[in-house]
Amino acid sequence: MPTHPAAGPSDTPPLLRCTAALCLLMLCSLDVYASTLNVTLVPSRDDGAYQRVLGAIVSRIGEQPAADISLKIVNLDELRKNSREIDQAADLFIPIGIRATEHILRQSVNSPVLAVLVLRSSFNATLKRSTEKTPAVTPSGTRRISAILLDQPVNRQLHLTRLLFGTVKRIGIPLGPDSQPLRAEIADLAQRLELSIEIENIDSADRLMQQLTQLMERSDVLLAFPDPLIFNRRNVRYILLSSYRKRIPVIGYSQSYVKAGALAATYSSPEQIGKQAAEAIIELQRNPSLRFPAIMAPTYFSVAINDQVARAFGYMNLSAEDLAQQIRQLERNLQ
Amino acid sequence: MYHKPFFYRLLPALLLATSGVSATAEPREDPAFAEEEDFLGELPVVLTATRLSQPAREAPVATTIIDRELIKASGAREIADLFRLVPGFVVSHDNGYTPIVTYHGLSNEQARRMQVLVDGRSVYSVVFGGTKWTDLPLAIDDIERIEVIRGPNAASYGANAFLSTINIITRHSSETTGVFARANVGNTDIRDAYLRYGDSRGDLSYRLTLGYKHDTGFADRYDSHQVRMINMRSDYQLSTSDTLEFQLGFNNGEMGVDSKTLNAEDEKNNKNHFAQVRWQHDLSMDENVSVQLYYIEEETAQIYDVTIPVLGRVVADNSYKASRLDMELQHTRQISRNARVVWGGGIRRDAATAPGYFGTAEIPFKDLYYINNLYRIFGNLEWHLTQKLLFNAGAMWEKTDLAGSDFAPRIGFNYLFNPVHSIRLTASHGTRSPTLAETKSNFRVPVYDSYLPTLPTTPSDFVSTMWRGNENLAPETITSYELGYMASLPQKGFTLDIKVYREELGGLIYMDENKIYEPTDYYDFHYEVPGNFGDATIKGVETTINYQPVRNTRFVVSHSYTELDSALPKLLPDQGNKTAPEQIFSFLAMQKFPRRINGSLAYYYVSESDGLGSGKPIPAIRRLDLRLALAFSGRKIRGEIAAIVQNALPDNDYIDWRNDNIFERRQYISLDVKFI
Repeated sequence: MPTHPAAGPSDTPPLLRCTAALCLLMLCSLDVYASTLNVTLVPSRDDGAYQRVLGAIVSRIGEQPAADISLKIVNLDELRKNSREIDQAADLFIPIGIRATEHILRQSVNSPVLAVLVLRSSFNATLKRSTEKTPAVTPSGTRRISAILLDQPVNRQLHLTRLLFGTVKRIGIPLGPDSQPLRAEIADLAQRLELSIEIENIDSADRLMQQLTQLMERSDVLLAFPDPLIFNRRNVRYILLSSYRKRIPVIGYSQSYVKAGALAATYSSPEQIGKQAAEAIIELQRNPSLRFPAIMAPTYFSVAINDQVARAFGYMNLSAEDLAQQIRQLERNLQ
Repeated sequence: MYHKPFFYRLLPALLLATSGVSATAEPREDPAFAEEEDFLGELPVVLTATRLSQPAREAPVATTIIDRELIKASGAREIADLFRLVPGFVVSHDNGYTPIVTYHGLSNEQARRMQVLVDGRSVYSVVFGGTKWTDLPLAIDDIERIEVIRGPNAASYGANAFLSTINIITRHSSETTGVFARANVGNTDIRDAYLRYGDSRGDLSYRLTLGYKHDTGFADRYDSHQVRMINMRSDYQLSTSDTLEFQLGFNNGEMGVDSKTLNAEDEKNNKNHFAQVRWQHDLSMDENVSVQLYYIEEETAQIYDVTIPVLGRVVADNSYKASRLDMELQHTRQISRNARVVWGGGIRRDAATAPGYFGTAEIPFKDLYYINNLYRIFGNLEWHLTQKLLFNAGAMWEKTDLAGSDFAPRIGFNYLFNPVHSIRLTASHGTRSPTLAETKSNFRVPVYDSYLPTLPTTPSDFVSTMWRGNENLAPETITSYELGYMASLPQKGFTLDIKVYREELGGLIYMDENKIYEPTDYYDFHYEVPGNFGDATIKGVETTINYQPVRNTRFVVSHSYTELDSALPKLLPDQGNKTAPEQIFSFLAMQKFPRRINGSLAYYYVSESDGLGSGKPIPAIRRLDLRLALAFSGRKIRGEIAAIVQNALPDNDYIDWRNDNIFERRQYISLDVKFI
């Protein structure tokens, strides 16, 4: 059911509490008759990507002066210290990052939660743990917990691969326990795009290197989908060096992977995620009966290219903007 | 990758501590948070500027890459056979186990105008300069890639990179873990077996390969061989910026030898061992330093002891022992966004002892020990003057005890019109220092109990000198001009590489036809002495097309046209002109069929030429090789069984370098199994 302010037992809104250094309040509209949407934002940390998401949300909302949206930013550590102080008057909770998400979900919040800047694998794991405590869907049918993921949709990565390598090369795709669920979607879309793929299912760390070597022996390109078992800080060196020795380019899944040595990737910056979150908020304010889908793929994305690696593979003057533009066009066509 | 539990427990505690909350870390939260950190945070840069190689389009000299797929599809059992696929290359055999790999002709059995490297180690022979392919402690399944540089490039590949360089790179030990075995069985008594075990634990990986190779060679020759080898490679990640590579190899073989002059057959024993260590250190993202040290020992033991009527008892000692100790330092630096510099230096000590070759005047021969020290420094600059124009410049300066100093510069421009078309224009000058055999040899054969009528008393003992070295030899020189064009359409699976070149060679070292007679010899034998009196001009066009029209089909086609004009004073005045065949063509087609069957077909054509060693014309060669394989897998194994036929065309026995080397049809079955 729609989110009314003060839907809880007490009618009086609780006091706001912000850390002085972080408090950025946006004043609500003076029109007392419009239903003001109260949104509580909880960044996992006070710096880095989380702050950038926050900034993007705030500035995007700021561009809509007519909207009745009240943003409140609460520091996660403060919340932890005073766990009772969760704002029951909030119409929407937006935890930024998995730690904030986990904390929010552990509280009994009646308002919807839109987790932002989370990875599918960690979000699903957190959700599973918390639905043991609070159901994800209330009896009235409102989906209460949703997320805007960091993971790029399967089609976006496959489009990038096809644009760069055509249909002749074999695309090696290692899938781990967290990315396994994507298998059917990957296979189906690859077939439609006429891509030749080789999937390797890796379920344990002991045979990881062996299996990756075997996969690379029958691949010309390596396409990465995030999975902490396969792609993590410890393995990045092995994967990039071993694939380069065989002259196999890697399509990564994040900007940092491209900087490390992957040839290219589609990715969403914290600002782009923030923009999408802000738009979700605005939509909800306009249409209070809106239900967010449980999982939302990032809408806005860019392409990252490692120029040096591209050159070493014989590519010249790859334009990240052109590629992103082409992919956007392809996504529109496929719909 | 081994789990680091301590680190994982420590990290969240540190983070929570800094945010002021008590360090009671929630274990469930750690991996998820770490994953997010990896995603959003900075990862270490792995493919730094110094680690990336120049792509083919930007290389100053035409290069052909032989990858593992080609190695398998070629059906080659010997490493040397792989070079048939490279334009301008001819692979012949002096006998069943002695391949002769030449580029642009001009070569006798020794094929010494080529640099051959395995993981940076120069493996051409210390004494004679050619490469003993069968003696290399290297299994073909351990090779990752072979880069063949067609043209002189001492600045990048060191001494002896005269006509071309073959750079063999073995697989990293972390990629050859588990148990792997291969067996080959076929006609001419082909019996090969290879067994490899590798493991990887955290930062250390290693492998051990054992090999055995055997066949009976040519039907009319006494050239059976059996070779046993052991190779060990280990790679250790000392720290995030240091890697250490260590290799050891042993090779021991027995081979048959035959001599027409002496009408005799014998067995020889060859050994070839090495140890190598390489340390790489990343000074920063843009700077890297490496140090390499290796030691190679080669040994041949064979003595003919033959009694020939009237002439007497001839004892020809072909044994020798040689060693090479080499140390090299290399520094790579990306000096700006558009320029990279590689420079370094090395010292080498080649040593040899051979009673027959390097003996003294007395009998029995006193064993002399010869040493040749080499010093070299080199430098290379890759400079992107503009987005499209690349300037490559390099040089090597070398000084050897045997032949003084020489300088080998290379300068070139690559112009990249667009992602598809590019051209290259390079001029390079190279040198080849004479070998120990060419400078110091004194091959003398004692003859006992001789009844030759010209002797003062009969029977008599005397020493016959077969050939002498020349201590005043200067290095050979080559100046090469190359214009290359490349078209690259990776999405269509098509690349084209054409090279047009002109090479001017001078001071080529050949045997002098003049007789030199020493009054101390009792018998009027004449012997030969090498000198710098060959000149040659080589012009030609080399083309390679790589085409993969659909993912299951791949073609590699190469062609070379060569015009060789040489002036070599030898027995036949024009000899040498036709040592490079005018037309060489190779075609390899690879196809993947359903039901895990794959096959390949290779066709080779080499037009007629003259064998420089034998002086006899070699007729044109046409050869068809076929391979059909079936892959299989079980719960714990994965493998392939293949049938290979070399020279499949009917009634097509051909002469391979020598008239009595008749290459008939060879067929063998190869089974390989990997335990997973």
